[in-house]
Parts: sequence; C-alpha cells; structure tokens
Amino acid sequence: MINLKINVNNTDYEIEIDEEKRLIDLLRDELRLTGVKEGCSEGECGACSVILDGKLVNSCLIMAFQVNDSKVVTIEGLSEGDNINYIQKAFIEAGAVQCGYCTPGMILAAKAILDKNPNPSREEIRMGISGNLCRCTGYEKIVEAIELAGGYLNGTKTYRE
Amino acid sequence: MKVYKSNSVEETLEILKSAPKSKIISGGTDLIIELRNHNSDVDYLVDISSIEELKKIEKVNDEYIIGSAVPFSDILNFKFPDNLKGFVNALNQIGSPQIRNRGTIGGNLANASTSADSAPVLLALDAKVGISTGDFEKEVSMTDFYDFIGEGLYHGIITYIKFKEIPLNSYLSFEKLGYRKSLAISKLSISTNITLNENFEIEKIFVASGAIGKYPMREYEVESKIISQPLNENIIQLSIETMKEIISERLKGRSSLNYKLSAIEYVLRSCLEESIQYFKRC
Ligand SMILES: Cc1cc2nc3c(=O)[nH]c(=O)nc-3n(C[C@@H](O)[C@@H](O)[C@H](O)COP(=O)(O)OP(=O)(O)OC[C@H]3O[C@@H](n4cnc5c(N)ncnc54)[C@H](O)[C@@H]3O)c2cc1C
Ligand code: FES
Ligand code: FES
Repeated sequence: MINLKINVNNTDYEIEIDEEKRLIDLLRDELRLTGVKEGCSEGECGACSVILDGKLVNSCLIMAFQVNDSKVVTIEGLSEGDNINYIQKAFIEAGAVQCGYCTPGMILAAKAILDKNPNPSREEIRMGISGNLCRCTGYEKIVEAIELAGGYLNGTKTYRE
Repeated sequence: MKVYKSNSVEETLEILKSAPKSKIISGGTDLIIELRNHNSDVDYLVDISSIEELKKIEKVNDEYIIGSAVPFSDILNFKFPDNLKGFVNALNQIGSPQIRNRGTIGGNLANASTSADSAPVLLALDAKVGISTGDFEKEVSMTDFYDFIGEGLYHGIITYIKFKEIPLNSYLSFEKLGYRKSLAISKLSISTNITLNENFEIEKIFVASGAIGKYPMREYEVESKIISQPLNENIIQLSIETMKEIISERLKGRSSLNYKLSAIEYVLRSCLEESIQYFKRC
C-alpha cells in the first residue's frame, strides 16, 4: 500500500491505496465518485474522462500513484451546491443526454474545450470530443449543447428557467 | 508490485539497474494496457512523468530539443514554422485529446512500434535521440535508433529528442491511413522532407515510412531515384511505383500486401502534392 495526497473536486484527501490501482479505481472505489464511468478500459471511449491538473485525461490509463500531489475534477465537482452548472444545463436543454453513460466524460470534455475558448467553432468542438464515444445521440445534439453552453458562458444565450 | 515517482534521471537509472523487472512508466497510454493484458512481466514501476529535466521543450539556436516526457499536446502548444507542418500533423492525429494530453514522444519511440506516428517524421527530420543507461550517455541518430535498441530499451532511458529547423526551401509532410486499434496490417504512414533548389529540382530528400516493415524506416531507394529531379507529376508517379516495388518485395506473401499497395498511392501522393503546394506558395 502507498500513501497518496490528492485534491479532488476542491477537497484534500490523504489516502492509502494499492500500488496496482489506477486513477479510475481510486475515484470510483475509494472516493465513491461513480460519475466516473468505466467503459473500454483502454483509452478508446472517454467515459472515464476527468480533468487532471487542468487537462482532460482518461482515468483508466493513469496509475493512482502517478497523481500524488495533483488536482482532479470529476463530474461531481462541477455542480455548485445543489445546482447543476451551465454545461450540464445546456446538455439537458439541447437534449444531448440519452442513456447518459457517456455524459459525465462528455461534459468534462466540453469543459476542457470551453475553458480554452468560450466561443469554439463546430470543428473545434468535434475535435475536442473526438476521444469521447456516444452510442446513442449521433453527436449532433452534443455539439449543439456545447455551443449553447458557450453561449451561456459568453452571455449571448440565457438559461431557460 | 512496487511503485516509485522518480525525481531525476539519475535516480531512475539506479532503480532500473538494481531491479531487473523494473520498468519506466511515463504517460502510461501504452504500458497500462500492456500490464492489464498481462503482457509485461514487471514488478517495479518507476514514474518519470514529473521529472522536470525531461519535461522541457525549447529551441536552442537552430535546434528543437524536446524532453522525452513531454506529452504530445504540450509539443503542439509550441510554435513550429509552417514548413514543419508534417511534424504538427503527425502529432495532431495521434489518438484523441485525452491521449495527446498524456502520451509522450519518448514513450512513443521506446517500444520500437512500427506504427508509432512520431517515428516517420523524426526519421525524415534526421532527428537525434538522447539515451542514458547507468553506464553511458549517447546520442543516437533516428536512422540507427532501431538497430541500437533492438526490440526495446531495457534499463535505459530516452532523455530527449532533437532536430534542426529546416530552411525555407524545405518542407516536411506526413500522411497516414488506418485506425490505431486495427492491427499494424491495416496501417501505413509516410513522411517526406524535401529541399528544392531554385530550378524546382530536389536538392535533398528524406522519405520515411511507418508500418511497412518491422520498424519505421528510411526509404533510401525512393530517395536515390528522385534526387536531383524536378518535383512534378512524373516524379510523384516514379516515387509511387518505386514504393510499390519495395512493398511488394517486403510484404511478399502477406495478406496485407494488396491493401498497402493501394494505401501507399494515396499516402505518398498526399505528401508530395502538399509539398508542391508549399513550394508554389513560397
Ligand atoms: C486510444 C489510443 C489511441 C492511440 N493512438 C495512437 C496513434 O494514433 N498514433 C500513435 O503513434 N500512437 C497512438 N497511441 C499510442 C500512444 O499513446 C503511445 O505510443 C504513447 O506515445 C506512449 O507514450 P507514454 O508516455 O504513454 O508511454 P508509456 O505507456 O508510459 O510507456 C510505453 C513504453 O515506453 C517505455 N518508456 C516510456 N517513456 C520512456 C523513456 N523516456 N525512456 C525509455 N522508455 C520509456 C515504458 O517503459 C513502456 O515500455 C494510442 C494509444 C491509445 C490508448
Ligand atoms: S474507460 Fe477509459 S477510455 Fe474507455
Ligand atoms: S447518451 Fe448513451 S452513450 Fe451517449
């Protein structure tokens, strides 16, 4: 077992964990952050995406011990208290969620895109979500949702309450 | 299994030397899949992803020096001139944003995989690879790299990759076909680095391929056939015919032969036509 210091969703943790565990195991099994989904376990589907020190990564392809002293954001870290955040609102508004399995990873990919550029082109959006597979929506609604979220962010669109 | 987050190259080499079944982990995008498939007999993982000296990318005089643990996306954030577009294209097409945020250039080369996308461009740029073992430090040319490391780099570490900028009358291009998940049999990549003289003739040429041999490699036969020739449609045809002969010989009897013969036509033509477009703009 090894000791890890990690900040997840703005909370500091000191955790003892098995050397062979990956970041996804740490998040799901130790911290019970089950919004992080395990799909392919091989870096292909993006369901396990989280933001590690500001960058979108697949948590199935990182060993837990590698993230000592790092900062991680999962889907659980996006909501503000009981309120979902603007990207989550946009996904609902645009009808971009069907079975929902890809959604947490997709929303974090959207956050990575919008953190860089609040006004991304469709091409940039498609590139930005190219590591996230969705078997339900055909992607069009997801692209629209991210555009809408960009609109919320830069003030050209307002929430429908 | 033991694990350790290393702080320096020196410390890493000590562990690699003292523990026979130890292995470096960098971005983890190849190794973790390998470990989970039990394809690797490892009892000690040494993480190099936080070693500062391996994470630098800089231009010193006319040379780009890239630390082996720099992830692709950080390399892509560096500003490269227009005539190195092939380098940017090769890295930009690797995996997905998530993979490029973790996967490193050193890790891409270390397995000696024939379909590693950074390899053909680095061959075409005549890049050098810095390697340290406990016993020596060496700078190996990409052309000799695969002979040097054989099947893999045991108990050594790639520390940097470096290559020189290319003059304005030179252009590097890269094209690939095939999806990564598919086996190497349905993939193919080419990089060309062409320098033209004022008469539009090829003064210098590097052609490198990926996934049509055991390792990525320079295609000297094509280079020698088209050097000093004018860069035009006839030369594109000649290059494609020559590459087809090479592939027919190299992949004789393989089921992938027909696919690769048609793929080369598209891939090599794209590289050469893109180069012509660049030279026309100049
Ligand atoms: C979904 C997916 C898509 C991908 N798509 C592509 C693609 O399109 N094109 C492509 O080329 N690749 C692709 N890859 C593979 C690519 O991500 C890796 O080859 C990556 O570059 C390896 O770097 P790493 O830092 O992740 O290496 P790791 O996985 O950490 O290590 C890989 C191997 O290299 C060794 N190693 C790592 N760094 C060093 C070093 N500095 N010195 C010595 N040995 C070292 C390790 O011991 C290990 O054996 C893909 C991978 C995935 C999962
Ligand atoms: S579970 Fe990690 S990418 Fe699919
Ligand atoms: S909504 Fe079902 S996988 Fe995307």
